Amino acid sequence: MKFETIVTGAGLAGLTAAIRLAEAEQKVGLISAGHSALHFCTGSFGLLGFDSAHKAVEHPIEALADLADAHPYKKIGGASLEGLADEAVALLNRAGVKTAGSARENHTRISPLGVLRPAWLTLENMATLEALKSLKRPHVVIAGIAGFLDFYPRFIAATLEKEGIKCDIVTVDNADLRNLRKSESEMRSANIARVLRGEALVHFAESVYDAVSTSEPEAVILPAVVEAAPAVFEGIVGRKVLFAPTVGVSVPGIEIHSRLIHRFTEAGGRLLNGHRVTGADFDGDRLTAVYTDRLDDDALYADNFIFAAGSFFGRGLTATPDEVIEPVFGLDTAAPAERDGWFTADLFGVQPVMNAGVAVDDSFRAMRSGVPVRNLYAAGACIAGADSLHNDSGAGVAMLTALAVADKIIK
Amino acid sequence: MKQLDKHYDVIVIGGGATGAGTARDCALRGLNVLLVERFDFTHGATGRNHGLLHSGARYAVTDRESATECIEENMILRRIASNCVEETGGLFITLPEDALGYQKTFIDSCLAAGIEAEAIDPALARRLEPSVNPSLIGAVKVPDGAIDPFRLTMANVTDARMHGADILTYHEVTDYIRTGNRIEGVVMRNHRSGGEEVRATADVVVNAAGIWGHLLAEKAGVSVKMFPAKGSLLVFGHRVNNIVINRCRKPANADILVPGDTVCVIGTTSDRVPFDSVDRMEVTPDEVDVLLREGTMLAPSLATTRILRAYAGVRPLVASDDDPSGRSISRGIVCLDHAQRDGLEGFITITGGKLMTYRLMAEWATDMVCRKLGREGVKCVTAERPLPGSEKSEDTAKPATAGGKASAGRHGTLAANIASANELDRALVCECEEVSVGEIEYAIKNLHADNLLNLRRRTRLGMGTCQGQLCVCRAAAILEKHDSCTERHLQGIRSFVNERWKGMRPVAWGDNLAEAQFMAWMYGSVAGLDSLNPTEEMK
Repeated sequence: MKFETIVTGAGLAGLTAAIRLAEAEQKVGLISAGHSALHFCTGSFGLLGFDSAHKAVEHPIEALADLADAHPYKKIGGASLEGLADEAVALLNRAGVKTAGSARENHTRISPLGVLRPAWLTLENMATLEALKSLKRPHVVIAGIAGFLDFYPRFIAATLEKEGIKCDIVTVDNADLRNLRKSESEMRSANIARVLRGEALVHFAESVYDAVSTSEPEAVILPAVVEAAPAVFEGIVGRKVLFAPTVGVSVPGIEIHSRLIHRFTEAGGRLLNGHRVTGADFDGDRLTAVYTDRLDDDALYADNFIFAAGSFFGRGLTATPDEVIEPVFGLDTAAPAERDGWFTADLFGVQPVMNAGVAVDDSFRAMRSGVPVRNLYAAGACIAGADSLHNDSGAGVAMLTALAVADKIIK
Repeated sequence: MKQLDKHYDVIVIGGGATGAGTARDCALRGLNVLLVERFDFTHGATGRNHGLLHSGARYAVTDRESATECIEENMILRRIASNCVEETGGLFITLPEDALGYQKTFIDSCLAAGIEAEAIDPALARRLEPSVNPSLIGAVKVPDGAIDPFRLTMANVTDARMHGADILTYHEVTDYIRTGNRIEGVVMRNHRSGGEEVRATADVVVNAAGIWGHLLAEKAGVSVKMFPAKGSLLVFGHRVNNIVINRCRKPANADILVPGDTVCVIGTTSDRVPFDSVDRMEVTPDEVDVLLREGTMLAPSLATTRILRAYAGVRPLVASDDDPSGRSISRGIVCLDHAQRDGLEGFITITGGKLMTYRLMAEWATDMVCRKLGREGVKCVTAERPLPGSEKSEDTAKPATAGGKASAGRHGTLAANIASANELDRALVCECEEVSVGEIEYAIKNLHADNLLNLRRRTRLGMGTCQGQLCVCRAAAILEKHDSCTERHLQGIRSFVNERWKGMRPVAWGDNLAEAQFMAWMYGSVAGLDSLNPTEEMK
């Protein structure tokens, strides 16, 4: 099979690049092993939530200037970042992922455990602190679901109350949910979303109405475990409905992922789902073909390749006891040398190894044996130097590097 | 300052197996008991060992006395703690690089100590335990097994309480109440109320604090010379072996592989460490290398099995009184009456020994307490009387749910007290270890659990292959419903995950590194716990 560009990895970075290229009428192949961190995305994206001292950032674009020179944002260059950020929002929008927020000013999302966090974009149907504060009266009712253990109304309420927003807590229950609870491990977000469709969704909305009918607030916060838009509920519930995130596999995250996949195939892209890249052919400083576990000896040829397989969790990188490696193409990595220097005692502090990644040149071309591979670009979490966990910048690094790389290929 | 109203016959310091066992024995003999622990039960060496039900074979050649104690206690524990014991059997294997001649000495010594030991054909050993190194040239079957030290300790605590003992966790003894040459009670710091001072009086105080007993004796003005010996272990992600595998040679590093629940454990190393390090044991890369290298000699498939975590405990080795240099170390039980030895009335130290002999240690200590109180008449019954949860059950009905079966395994007959009437109680909090909402509630109400680490020690919450990905938040929310301490339990999640990280860090490559990155992302960035200030380590 021959493509103009082959993208390895269908997380946020791979999908963004693949969609951009397919929309530019390139013939694009997208190789996906099938799992993506997007499935755990709670519906908010970070561009730069925290600076290198872990201080919350208010104005991401302004704060980018202070990042280390090795950071991927620095390679993109300050002037282009703002434009790419707007382009990212437009791309999401075209895929049907409607967000609120701006790269110029962070807003405040509510985490699944009720912690307030700076965010770049949040799905427009999710509760943000700003949305709640704009209510006529600062009073909401948070509706949990009986037996659903991954939504935390009390934690969320504790935070909102501190912000001056009064919270009532109610529990919703009905026959469909009781039925689902019969198996002791079925009450999980994705299962609930599967059940709450069609008629069951209407029943659920009616149960929400029953549960909140005696409370005053004009707005109801529900766990993000339904695929439907809040408007569907608002008619029945008779109040404004906003979603708040759950811990673990995330229904909004799955939905973002499937909308992006849909946008890619709709734009003419070819998805190779459930494939794992097993090998590659190089010709000097060019990559000519890749192989996957499901195509035996059939090579996949392309003019350009994008490596967007993620970091350790995404399996783009792995580590032996002695070194960080990129296991498929044998690309150069940048990582602290000794395992002793990889970690620190506080998992939530800076972990030097999490900053490791594929070494790239200034055009994001991946390095191999000390020289850039001319037609292999890296995008997203696999790139060295982006401490995305610490900066809360994973989504921004994924989308902006992907768009930057796609632009280079299109040119 | 708070003074407890009641005057006790005896105060036992230390919530490990020995302290809990002593409190139980004293309570069963009708004494008024207070058990105090500075953090949580099993926080010290009791919670950081192999979980091996020693047959005593390991000591047969070098220490006959310990070997005999071991096999006797081994047989007793099978009876009284059946719910904490798994009768796996054990093998002592000889590899080509070991001298086969040692096997005969080994078997003779075992038999002389009263330990059944039977040489079997290596081919039979391979059939009995398919994971064993196939190049073995000799094998001896012995009655080793696996024991769950968390369950064992909690069963002792529960029985002590059922017989009237008072129990205080998170109360650290900082000083003694004394008059002249007599200890008359303890002064404690309550870690759960911002360090409030609490005083309690008793006729006798028993120091059963493991390695920390050294310092507690010092505080009382007497000297019990102990040597902290660090032992590191690795836990593997699944149960590679079903029979305990030992190396048939003089005891050395990393020569025991013990199956337990869904995992298996290789250990240990043994190194003297300075006293000031005993509260912060970290496993070093070198120790990991030794454990992996030697473990693979016992069961080659360990080389490709995921390591879940590494941990280390500190054995309290005691120097003989006539040799304070510490060159002559005994693994035997040391029970000291400080009145006779040092002229200090009302104070006893029970130390040395090992998990296997905790009951016998408790018996000796309680005998001494009774002598001091002039109540020698009451007989010790702990060798016959089953622990709660290990009684023979009349009820043969099998629990219908996964969580029900798992909690019956963990709590034995006491599992009947776990709410399971409706599906809200039966919902699983921890899928890997099948811990239900009802079991968490039970532990909070009945087993002195008010933080996530307590729950882990009581229920195995978060100990399975996922190492606490979601269950931690679910359990924290249940804890929070009981006490409304939102901030504390959010901090608790952060500390719990960091405690896991401590165990993963020495082995954080491959899948573990991927998992750690996921944890840091989920709990740190997504849930936002990285913005909470790091607090003191959860104990």
